[in-house]
Amino acid sequence: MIVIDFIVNQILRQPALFLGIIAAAGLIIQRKSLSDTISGTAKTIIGVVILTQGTAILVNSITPLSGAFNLLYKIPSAQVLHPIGADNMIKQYGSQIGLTMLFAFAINLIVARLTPLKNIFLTGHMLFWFPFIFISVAIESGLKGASVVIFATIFTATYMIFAPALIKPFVKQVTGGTSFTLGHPTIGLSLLSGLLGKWLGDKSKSTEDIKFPKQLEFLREITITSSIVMFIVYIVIGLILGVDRSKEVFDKTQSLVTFSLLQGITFGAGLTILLLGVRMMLAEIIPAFKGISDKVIPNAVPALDCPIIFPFAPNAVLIGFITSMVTSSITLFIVGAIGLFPYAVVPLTITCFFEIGTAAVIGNGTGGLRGAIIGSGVAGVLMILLVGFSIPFLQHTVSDWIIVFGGNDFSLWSIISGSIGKLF
Amino acid sequence: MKRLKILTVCGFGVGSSLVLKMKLDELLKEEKIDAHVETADVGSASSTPCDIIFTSKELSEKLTDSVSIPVVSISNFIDKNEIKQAGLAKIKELIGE
Repeated sequence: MIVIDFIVNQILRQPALFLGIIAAAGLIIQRKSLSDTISGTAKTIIGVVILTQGTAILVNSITPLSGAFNLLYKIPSAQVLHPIGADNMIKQYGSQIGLTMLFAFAINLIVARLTPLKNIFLTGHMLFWFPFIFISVAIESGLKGASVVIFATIFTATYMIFAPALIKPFVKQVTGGTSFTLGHPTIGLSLLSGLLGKWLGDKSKSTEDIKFPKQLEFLREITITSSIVMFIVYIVIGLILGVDRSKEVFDKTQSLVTFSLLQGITFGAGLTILLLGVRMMLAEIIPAFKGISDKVIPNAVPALDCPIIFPFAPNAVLIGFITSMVTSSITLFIVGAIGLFPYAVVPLTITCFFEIGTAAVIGNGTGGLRGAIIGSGVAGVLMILLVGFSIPFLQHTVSDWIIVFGGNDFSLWSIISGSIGKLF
Repeated sequence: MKRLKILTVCGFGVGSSLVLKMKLDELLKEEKIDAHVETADVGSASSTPCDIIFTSKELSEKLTDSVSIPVVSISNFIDKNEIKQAGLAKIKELIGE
């Protein structure tokens, strides 16, 4: 009993160690050398710790903004968000996230083996973040114990199996082949953009026919782009608040420009650390998953990360990013003015780049330049509404995370699963 | 002989670069070349020590200017033939074959 108790309480409840064990098992299955197995396992464990710290830095860099919005919208203190926070979620529930990853992937394999839905979800970081979101929704819904993992597994597996299958015909229009599909929370927005492109677009002129100014190439580095955007957001909010009130909520000694610059840069730094953590955590687990999938389902269609289709229309990515930054900023001002959401919703740079950049590539595939612009423009508006309406479903857990990474299928599926979770 | 270190790069360093890494690993295994493949995001790639970089066409234009090692651009990350044609000769050159 003591041994079982030790394993359950001292190892399985420690996410870093638990994911380390998954990585070690994967490395052993792949028959890696002892040296590679030890270093891969250690890197996975270190990666989880780095990821948790990076998340904390990133989220802390936008916390003063929430304070500013609360003051600006005169939100009563009872309604102010007090989430336990994304970093604490990973610390407390990381093992449940790990278990959900394993179970959902196993279900995905079984379905691909037995049915005509042959796609296998292989986007590593998304295999982590979807369980993270659904575990949070389960907790918000009041579930406890094993039912938390069961709830999250059902939704993660459903998403992993059906979403990539839905977007596959549109991916084919872009790439001309069916060797892969997308496995990424852009799918909802990309479907919308693809359909809008089909109905309203004009295929005779592609995004790739236009010449893009070279000076805008720096936008492709998302850590830099998002730092700049956060800097601008702080400056704008600070100016709206005025000098006195902004000093009160931001920093009493630093000037607004210095403070905003440092917060923007801290955001980029947090993002870089978070990515390093994700990379170290998954570098061993995902190849192991792929190895198993290759053995069990030889004719599988991998569902992959969205930048895999960026090379098919690199101009569309930047057009989608810029268009959606414009339409989402306008939407933000409108929802702020009419007081639609009693929460701070900030510009979603990362979502505009990856999710809507992909949506623009798909829109270009179905409706050329016009399709890309209409698709990404509408997606930018929808993104703000999605993130705003999803916050209540994650209010006490990871609302701090969704306001940075949401506005996509994470938000959409928080709303769907949260509405179902309320039935329990 | 020193073990070659290859870096695969994408915007985030976690998704498509990992796909490219897995394809490269397959190719290296077929060619019986012992090399270490790691992933990185485009921001930290130029400061990560390595011998050769594999990335997409858009990102390779940025990276070529900031590093002194060979940068190989790949347009389809899951096309092993393209990776082989674009990069294998350079890899063999680096390990002195």
